[in-house]
Amino acid sequence: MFTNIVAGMSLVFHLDNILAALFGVTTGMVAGAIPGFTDTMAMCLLIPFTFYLNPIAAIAMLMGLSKGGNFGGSIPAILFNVPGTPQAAVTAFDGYQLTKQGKSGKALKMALYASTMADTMSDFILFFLAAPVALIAIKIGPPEYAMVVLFSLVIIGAVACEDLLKGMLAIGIGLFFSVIGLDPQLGSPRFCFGSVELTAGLALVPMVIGILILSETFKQVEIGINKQTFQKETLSKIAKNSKIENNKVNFSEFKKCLPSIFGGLGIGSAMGIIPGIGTTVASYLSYTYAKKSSKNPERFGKGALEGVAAAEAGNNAVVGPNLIPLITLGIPGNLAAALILGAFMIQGLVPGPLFMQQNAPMLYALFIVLIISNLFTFTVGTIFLKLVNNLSNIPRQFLYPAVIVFGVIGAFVFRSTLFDVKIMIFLGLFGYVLAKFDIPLPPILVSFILGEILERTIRQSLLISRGNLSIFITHPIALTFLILTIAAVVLLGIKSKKKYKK
Amino acid sequence: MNRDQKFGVSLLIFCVFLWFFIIPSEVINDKAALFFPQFITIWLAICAILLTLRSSQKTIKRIDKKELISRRGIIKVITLTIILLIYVYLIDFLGFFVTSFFLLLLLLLIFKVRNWIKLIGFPFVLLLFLYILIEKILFFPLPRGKFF
Repeated sequence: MFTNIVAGMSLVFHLDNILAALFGVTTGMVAGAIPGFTDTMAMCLLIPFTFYLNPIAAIAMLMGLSKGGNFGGSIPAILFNVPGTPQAAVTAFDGYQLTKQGKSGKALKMALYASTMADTMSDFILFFLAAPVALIAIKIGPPEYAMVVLFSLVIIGAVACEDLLKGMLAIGIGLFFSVIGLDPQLGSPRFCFGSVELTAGLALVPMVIGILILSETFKQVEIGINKQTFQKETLSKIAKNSKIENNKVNFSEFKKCLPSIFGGLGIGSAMGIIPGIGTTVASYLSYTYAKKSSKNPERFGKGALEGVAAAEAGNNAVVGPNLIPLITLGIPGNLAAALILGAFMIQGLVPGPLFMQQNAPMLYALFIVLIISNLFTFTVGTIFLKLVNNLSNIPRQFLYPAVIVFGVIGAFVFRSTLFDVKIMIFLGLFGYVLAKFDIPLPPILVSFILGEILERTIRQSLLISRGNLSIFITHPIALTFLILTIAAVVLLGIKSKKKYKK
Repeated sequence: MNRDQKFGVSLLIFCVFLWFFIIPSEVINDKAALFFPQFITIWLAICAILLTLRSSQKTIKRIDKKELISRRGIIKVITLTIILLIYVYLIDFLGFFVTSFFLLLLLLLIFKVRNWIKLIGFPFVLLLFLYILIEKILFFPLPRGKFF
């Protein structure tokens, strides 16, 4: 292990890797701080360019982006009560109240401290847990793997949307997109309708840009972009009346927030390991835990610094453990992890049970990159807090046209074909229509990625059993996950039905 | 028919079409090759049936008061789609940068930007930045046309 860590260090400490991580963190922070433009959108736009970087720089950039974006989203949430990212909505509960009391600097600094602290500790959890999980993962065969993927898909679909049925529909749509192209074993075209370009299958990048970014642009065009509603003048008045001590976090305040940070770390890390749960749920749970365990729960929602700390620690603690299923099983836990998996694939790397064994130095290099990214989040964040007021007010009339052009470049550069740009437009429109029917879009992308693995492992299993489906029942681990999948569908289905009736 | 019923029925029709017409013509007639596409079709069909049944239950009085999309909204979305499709076809003749300039101009007009300095200046500055970044720094050639 020690040799691998040293080898990992020698791989990491190159200028291009460090600059890539720095660029990723900064871009993520900027993207997160702009309401309506999330860190995942920035990841989608940057993925095609990772093709030109070495594997470590590519992953460092995307991981840095994810970390920077997680913190960046809290900035407009605290300053304007407009969360830059969905998970930052909880930060706004107390953060905006603190801003109204003239303590925005204090809230922002606490958010930065809690984010980087929880993030760094969660990276160590990844560091120590990845190897044991990989050892178990190595022992599982195609039937077990297929059932683990199926279970993950059900959980991802269920958690992505309150309505289980619509989540499952999204998963089915993503799986359908994954079969377009050549048959993986026989090499015959499937659903290509005579198109030569479709035989290569749908590319991830145009799909991600179309479904996530273009669909949002269609929505904005339909509803019309409202002029900025942020209260710039009110904010500047608050800032003028604010005292210096109100913009600092002193040691006693930090000490008071430590239980909330550790609570958030525990909850966020646990949520991160389970595929599909994600940062938003972790953030809500951490906040609820901090409120319940506080001696003064009535202060929550009225400007409690612990509330900001808990929400930020919760959502940032997801980042490290979220990579455990990705690295050890090749299963992305959420959309950000799915995009990182996409970048791995662009580099010709396939995360999964054997990945840790075959690429140990590289994996340790990635762990080191995560820690470095946290240092960047802290330093860049400190500087960034002074500039954010203007950034959060970027008019969306200019943002969306620019995003479309970036999207076109992103879709084109991946395979240098305008066919992918056409696919992006089609999928953008398709995503827009699906969103109209409240079908969640992120599970489509995750299941599109996992579809290939699911089909491969199912077919391998059927080859082993000579077409007998009982292979999924006779293998104990496969059976366990099959039962878990059925139980999850039944339980979540009942819960979803109750919510629907309400 | 409410929104979910419309979606469920449309999807169910698609699944029937997929099972009886598209899969037989688009997938090789091999048991292993057919398994996964058929599995997905069943998955989608079950979801479509449940969605249709659920939304037609009498006990659930769910009324979609909100309009799915306004007539004005449809026009705007269709206009943007046509603009984007024309844009992609024009890239081959006029090149990425010239076509994108006009696309940005049109999009800004759609987003109600009326200041002419911003209308011309923003696309110019953005495309200049992209030209330097993509072509000069990353050395990636974007489609060229007759003029540029």
